[in-house]
Amino acid sequence: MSPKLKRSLICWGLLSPIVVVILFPYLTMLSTALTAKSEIFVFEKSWFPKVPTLENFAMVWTERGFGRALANSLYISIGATLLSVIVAVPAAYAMSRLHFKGRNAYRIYLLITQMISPIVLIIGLFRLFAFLGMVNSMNALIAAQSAFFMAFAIWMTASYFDTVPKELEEAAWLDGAGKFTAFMRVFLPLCLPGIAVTALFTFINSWNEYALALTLLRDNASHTVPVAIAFLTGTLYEIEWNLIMAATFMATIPVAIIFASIQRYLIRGLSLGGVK
Amino acid sequence: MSSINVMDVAKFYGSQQVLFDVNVSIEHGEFVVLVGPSGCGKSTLLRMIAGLESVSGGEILLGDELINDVSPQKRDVAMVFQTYALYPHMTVEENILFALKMRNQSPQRCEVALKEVSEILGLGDLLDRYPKQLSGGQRQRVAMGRAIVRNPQAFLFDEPLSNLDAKLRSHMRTEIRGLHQRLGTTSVYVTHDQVEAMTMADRIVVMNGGRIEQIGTPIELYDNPANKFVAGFLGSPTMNFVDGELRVDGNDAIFVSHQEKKFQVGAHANMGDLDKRRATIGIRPQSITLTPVDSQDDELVGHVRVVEQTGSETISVVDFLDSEIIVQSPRRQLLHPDQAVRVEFDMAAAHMFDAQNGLRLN
Ligand SMILES: Nc1ncnc2c1ncn2[C@@H]1O[C@H](COP(=O)(O)OP(=O)(O)OP(=O)(O)O)[C@@H](O)[C@H]1O
Ligand SMILES: [Mg+2]
Repeated sequence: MSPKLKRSLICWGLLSPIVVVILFPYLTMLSTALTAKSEIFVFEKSWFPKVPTLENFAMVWTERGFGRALANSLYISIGATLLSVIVAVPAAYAMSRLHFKGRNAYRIYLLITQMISPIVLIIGLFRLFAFLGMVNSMNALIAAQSAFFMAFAIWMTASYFDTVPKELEEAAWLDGAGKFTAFMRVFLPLCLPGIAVTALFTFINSWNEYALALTLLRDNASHTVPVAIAFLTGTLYEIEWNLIMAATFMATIPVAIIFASIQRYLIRGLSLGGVK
Repeated sequence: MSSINVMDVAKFYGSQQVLFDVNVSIEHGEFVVLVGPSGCGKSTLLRMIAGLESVSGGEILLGDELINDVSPQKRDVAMVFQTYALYPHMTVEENILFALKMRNQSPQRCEVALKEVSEILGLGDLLDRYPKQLSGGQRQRVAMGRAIVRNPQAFLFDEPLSNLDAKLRSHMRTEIRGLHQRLGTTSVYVTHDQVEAMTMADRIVVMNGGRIEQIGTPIELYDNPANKFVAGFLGSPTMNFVDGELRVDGNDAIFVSHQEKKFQVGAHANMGDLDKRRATIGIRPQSITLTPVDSQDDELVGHVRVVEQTGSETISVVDFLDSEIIVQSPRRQLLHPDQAVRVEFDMAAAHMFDAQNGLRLN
């Protein structure tokens, strides 16, 4: 056995308990989602459904209006991601490249905002949006979520921007590009990986966000995915695990798709040999 | 193509001053090399000419135009960076043509320019590659191509060869010089390598600690350094220095080292006031001869410490007058460590510097 093979076997051996811990809930979720309601509470519990069925998905989708929740969540998460990124990119550029008075204070301020839990602010926010007449507005939720995710997005993009050599922009200026053109044609394309990662994180944060969504969107029709899933448990006499798991499974799909489509930016090398 | 005039320029970073009263006037078509030790402000000065650093005091003129506050975009100078700064997401062709695109040149004009540049620099096969697919020397060449394609008023180089290996460096040195002869564009070239400075420059500007020490042609600076710093900076191996005192008596001047060894100094007029002056003589490794001797009691005996044979010449380090003296003899001299040698200075070629302020006395 070659030493390399040995090493990877040892690594896998050590990692496998963790893999089990990570995959177990996922598999349980999948198997429960595929199990008919009648089969769930039988005495002889088996790991896998005897007759796999898609009826739970159909049920969640049609009778419980989960499709609506998915659409709401997509709208809100994409909106919050776009808004965060659109504001974070210029803000991060300023933080990474421009020398202005109070730059350090600004950095620290952003960090401090992250120390306050959104829960603490929720009542205040609710009153604010109520005052603005924006309760039940998905755009209000987009604004509120972006405000919370922005600081993190700015920090993350700024630290990526810091790794892009300044000479590249300087070379573009000397080549006759204005500040904005140099930013768009030279700087931004190189920062796509960093921006993609930030967008992904923001999207996932927003997708999973519960408290704000629950507070600001009072209407059944405007429930987001996490809220809708939470409400699935709410029947009085039974907890419909099969439906919850089917919904949860569907909720993981958009994130997986986005992750897969963004992946090539994540692994693309940073400066790609432009310097040295 | 333009002249560049730097007048009384100062640079502050916060309260720290890094350039003091810098005056250089670079003529149209000239190749000027800024040289000096690390941190002396060469890059800062170059970047101020490029417009990448603000000017804290004084004036910079490109041709007749005052460019202190002109943005780099409008200056029409091209710069080759130490790290090349090629755009990683563009092919070689796009890199080279970027400047022309920014100036809205027609596609026909771009094509002609690209052809010309790739011919001059031998980039023909590389045009479709990305920078990461190029070797160091090729990247260097693309960076040059990006600079020459638009025919700027001036080229600015910031240590463009320092990432290359020795052989490629000397090759590119010749190539850049050749390019300058062909294009005749005013060039400012920053390096801390005195060999590059000596071999490439029309004129050298020697800087130290944010100030200009001396400006002149390589030969002028080599033969008549204004002070000890310039003398020690240029020439390889570096000049040897011996501390001591001058004794002048009429037309007869001698230099007495701290060890009371006496050297006859080529006297000249008005040396009278130099009597008893503390001084340093500087003598190049090429102006010293070593002769093996048997006896230890000769006045001028030193002991060989290290001998390096390059094949054609011999470089020896000799313990002499309590210091290490480097000697380069133009032929193969068979010396061995610990050998006693008689050390003779060619005093006609020696320089004499004031021990206090370093200025040249002879
Ligand atoms: N952004 C800056 N802020 C503060 N000080 C700076 C800054 N840039 C450069 N300096 C200082 O200015 C001085 C000159 O720097 P510069 O880069 O011009 O040196 P250099 O001669 O190019 O050296 P090297 O050969 O190492 O490149 C240095 O003492 C450096 O510490
Ligand atoms: Mg430098």
